[in-house]
Amino acid sequence: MAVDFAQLVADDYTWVSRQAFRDPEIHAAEQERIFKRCWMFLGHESQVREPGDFFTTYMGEEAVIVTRGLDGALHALVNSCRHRGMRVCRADRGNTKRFSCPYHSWTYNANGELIGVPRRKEGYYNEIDLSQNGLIQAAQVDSYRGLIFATFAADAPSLRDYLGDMAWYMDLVLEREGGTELIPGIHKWIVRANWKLACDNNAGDWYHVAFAHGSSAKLNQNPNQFDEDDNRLQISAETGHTLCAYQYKPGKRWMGAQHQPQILTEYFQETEARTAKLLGPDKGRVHFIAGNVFPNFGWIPGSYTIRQYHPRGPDQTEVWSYCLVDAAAPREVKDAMKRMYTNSFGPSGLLEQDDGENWTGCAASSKKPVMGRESFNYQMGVGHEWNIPGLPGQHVGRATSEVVQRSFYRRWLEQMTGRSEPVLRVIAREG
Amino acid sequence: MELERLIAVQQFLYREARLLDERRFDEWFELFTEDCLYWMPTRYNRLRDGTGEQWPVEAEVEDESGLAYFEDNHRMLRRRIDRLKTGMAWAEDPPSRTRHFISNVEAEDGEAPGEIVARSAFLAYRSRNEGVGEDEDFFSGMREDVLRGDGNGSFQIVRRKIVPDFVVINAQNLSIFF
Repeated sequence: MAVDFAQLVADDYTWVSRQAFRDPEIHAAEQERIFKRCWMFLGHESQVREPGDFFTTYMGEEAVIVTRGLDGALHALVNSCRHRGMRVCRADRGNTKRFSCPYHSWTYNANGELIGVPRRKEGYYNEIDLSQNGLIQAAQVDSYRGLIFATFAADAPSLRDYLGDMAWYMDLVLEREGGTELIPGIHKWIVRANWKLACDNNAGDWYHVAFAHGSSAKLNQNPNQFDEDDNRLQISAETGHTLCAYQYKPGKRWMGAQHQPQILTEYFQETEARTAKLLGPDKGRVHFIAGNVFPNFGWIPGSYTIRQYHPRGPDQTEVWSYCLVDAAAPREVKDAMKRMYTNSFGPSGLLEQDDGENWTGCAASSKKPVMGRESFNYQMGVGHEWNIPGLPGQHVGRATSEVVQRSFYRRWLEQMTGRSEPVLRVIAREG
Repeated sequence: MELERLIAVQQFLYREARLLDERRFDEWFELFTEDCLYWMPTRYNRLRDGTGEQWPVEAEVEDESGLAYFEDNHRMLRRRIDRLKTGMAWAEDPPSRTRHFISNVEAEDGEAPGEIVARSAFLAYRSRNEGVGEDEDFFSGMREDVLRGDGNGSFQIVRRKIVPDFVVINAQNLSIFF
């Protein structure tokens, strides 16, 4: 029986059926309607600087090789031989002129073109058309300020249009003299929970921070980590891309985390004027805490990390977590940022540990006969959203709101049903 | 003399593992010097490109500039242990039941006078909650320790490098020590 996706989500997005977090049929439909339709984050241009450089990753569950082609262009090649389907690349990264299949040695170049077929004369009588048997490629590949994305949908909007207002917020992190780069290496781990549980948290769940991550606040002897005078916000960038952010009073800027090493404080003091000039007055007052580019590209810029929540069936997610730093920063500053990230949101991080613990427990209960028929509750702050002049995005809520999750599931439903939803009601800020 | 040293190192490593499994983390912490480094670099699948070259393990392990699972100094190790006492370390509440199996122990002279390099293999078992299905994990790897005499006939760890046998952690976190 076909799933009626509209029955899984409330009209005002205040609840989502737990069925959406465990059902193999829904998961299969997500592969078609989300992961083959949306722009997927692949990696950073710093991973593929020279022609022939490559790294492997996933678009949803599809294994892909991202290459800097011989032509200098970026390619996203499906990592599966056109002959019998074996993975033609089994390395995580490197530089190569060719990908040779270990099964029958069909060989492709870094552009994905088939350049060699053994026994072409004796076996194929020269009748095989190499040009028709290159690796399957993403329909569009593009990058935004160093971040590489691709989509399998030829008719998808441009990457810039897809990102929409979210690009304004991404700029807060990416717009730096010299740009950004990734620290070599990727943290990869398995969480036994549906990918959406991770994403609706990363979307901007400020509510859990004081409780789920209470151990860190206690360690820092600082239960209230934020200055009450400044605005703690949740922002829906109106296309399912969301974030939680901190809007400072004019003239104030984020200067790094509390308890950061002195070298980082000095770095932010030294670069503040130049960064403020690059960002301008509106952007300069906003600090991007955490967010999610739909569907599964998570950001926690205050801890120098971006991550992809790769789906692995309805019950499992493979987290790939990267450390993103200012490219022009001195080596010692990058090292300090790397340790700040690892110690907080790496898989051994004092904050990350407890997220996996919670998502796994949430997922497990959703498979049970009684609770599996219930829904998750997303009603916090519904009807209490507003706009803030100068901040892109249509819906803003307090830190204690679930406007970002409602935005995420609204986009999810739009993708799953292929229909456009009425715009959420925006009301004037109370008081 | 060689045998005596090897046995002393083995006994030190076994005792250290027991302190972890008995959750005597404060005593375990005392085994590290103030200038210690507790380091577990990440690892990746390296391209061999059909050359047949037998790549050394070091070539597929990130160096100091790359990402590590742990890159702790004395202070960070302390913070990890103090976190367990906050009453809000949910990933360890209820606490993991662990067993660290230490084997393949070798000991040789270190670079600095009086220092010993001890290599060992580990298999760490973790059981949580009911201890079935997703509540069971195995972690395998090797360790290269630089040990210094502690003045009382035993040792302290100056540097521990842990090389994991995985590229993707087949578990939801690394909330235990190795």
